[in-house]
This record gives sequence, structure tokens and C-alpha cells, in this order.
Amino acid sequence: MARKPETGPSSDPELLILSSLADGPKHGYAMKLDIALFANVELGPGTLYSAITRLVDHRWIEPQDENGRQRPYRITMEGLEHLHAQLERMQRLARFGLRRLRTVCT
Amino acid sequence: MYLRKILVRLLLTLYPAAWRKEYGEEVRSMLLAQPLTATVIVDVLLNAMRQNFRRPDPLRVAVLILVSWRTSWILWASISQLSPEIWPPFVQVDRSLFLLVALATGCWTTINEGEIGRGVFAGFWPALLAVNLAPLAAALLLFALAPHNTIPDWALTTADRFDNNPTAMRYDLAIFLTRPLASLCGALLGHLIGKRRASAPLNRA
Repeated sequence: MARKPETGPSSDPELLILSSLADGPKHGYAMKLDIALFANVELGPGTLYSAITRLVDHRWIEPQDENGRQRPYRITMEGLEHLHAQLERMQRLARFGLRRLRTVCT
Repeated sequence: MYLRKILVRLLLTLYPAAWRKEYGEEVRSMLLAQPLTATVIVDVLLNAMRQNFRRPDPLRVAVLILVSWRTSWILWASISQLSPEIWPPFVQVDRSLFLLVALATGCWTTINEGEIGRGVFAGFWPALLAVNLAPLAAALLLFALAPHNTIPDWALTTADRFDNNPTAMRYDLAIFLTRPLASLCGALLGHLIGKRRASAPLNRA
């Protein structure tokens, strides 16, 4: 439930929420279920909504019209750009790390 | 189910009012839709603390400033046994601080919540709380930390000052009137800033 879990940057709540919203708007509970499904990470309600607050403040996501008790959120253009940049950075880092690991192993 | 609703409501009161207004209902329905385990409760508590640091509630900040100031002064005066002759500089600082905090809290709350009434209330309420809570906090701390004989007589005879000293009474009445006035000025200032902020994107367009 920590802000930066020990499992690394791939379980960063903000990144997980942005990834979850990349395929369309979702409300909080749907995001939580989706994240548990694709990343195997259980986000607590406090962690989830703290991350949502930060993302809304950064204007990377925005709430859509009121829909009962759960408002759906959608990713903005800036959010998509941020997600893309972060994922590319992680990909570069992973490629670099794996290459070094292979060198050490051989 | 009823207890669960009460627990959820209690947990949500730990979040700042502005945050609760924005996300409270969503978190409430999410908490009611899943089992309330210890992990979930700890998660909510930790994040409530984080939100309080991140988006401080003006009213809580004002109460904290004024209570800390008054309590520390009462403690210092009691332990050092300061005589009433050296009060005037303290009284000046105290008066200015209370007015400044009332003005700032009124302004900040009105900007956050958009209601002048809330701003006036938030500007005045911390002063009332501080005036009553600080002596209590100081007395408790003194009781825990220092022997009874370090408490000067004046600390125990505030009521006499009201009854027997017309100047002091007039002074206290003046304070009683200026603090709400400062809150009102702060709230009006906050209202103006809020309006200006709201119209800024239109001007740019």
C-alpha cells in the first residue's frame, strides 16, 4: 500500500492509473479492478484517490460529468504524453539493464 | 452495516474539507463496496495524513499557529515568572498575530471554498479556539512538566482583570470587535482574488 512499493516503478500508482485510462475513461472502482488484472497490484482506496488527486492537479487526467456516486475519469493529451515518455524511459532502462545482465552472465 | 457506515464517515473526516468535497463521495462508495480490512483502514489513514500535509486546511493551520503561540507564551511566562510590566510588547505581537491570522484565514478559506460566510467563520473561529484552548494546553503541560509554584498569580486571576480593570475590559472588547472585522476583510479580499482568478482564462481568450 506504500506510495512507491518495493516492486519497482512498474507499480507506481500514477503510472498504473494512466495506463489503465489509456484505453478509455473509467471510474475509481473500475480502475482498481483493471490495475489488479493487468499489473497484479492491489491499490488501496486511499492510495488510489491520492494518486488520482495528484494526476488531476497535474491535469494529466480529468473527471467527466457526474455519474451517480462514481465519476469516470479520462486521460488528457498531456497525460498521454507523460505516460508515453515514462514508458519509453522505462523501456530504455529495461533494455540497458538486460543488456548489461547478459554481458555479466556470458 | 450501520457501524461500517459510521467508521467510513469517521475515516473520511480525517481528510481536508476541500478534498472531501471533491472526492469524498467516491471514496465513501468505494469503501462501502469492499471489505474494511486493517490494511484498507491503514491505507486510508496514511493517505488522509498525506492529504492534510499536501492541502492544508486554513482553519486547522490557523488554530495550530495561534494555539502554539499562546501556549508557548503562557508556558514561558509561567516558568520564567514574568511580571505583568513586561507584557506590552507581547500584547502588541499577540494582537497583530491574531489579526493577521484572521485576515489570512478568511482570505484563504474564501479562495478555496468560494463563500464569504465560510471565510468569515474560518477567520474568527481559530481565535476563539486558541483563546480557550491555549490556557488549557499550557495548564496541562505545566501540570505535567513543572511544579505548581511556578504558576504566577495573574495566570489564575484573569477573571479579576475583567471585573476590576475597565481599561483592560475596553481593550478586550476592542479585540473582540476587530477580529471578526479582520476576518470579514480577509474574506472579501479572498472573494475578489477568487473572482479575478475565475475570470482570468476568459480574459486570455
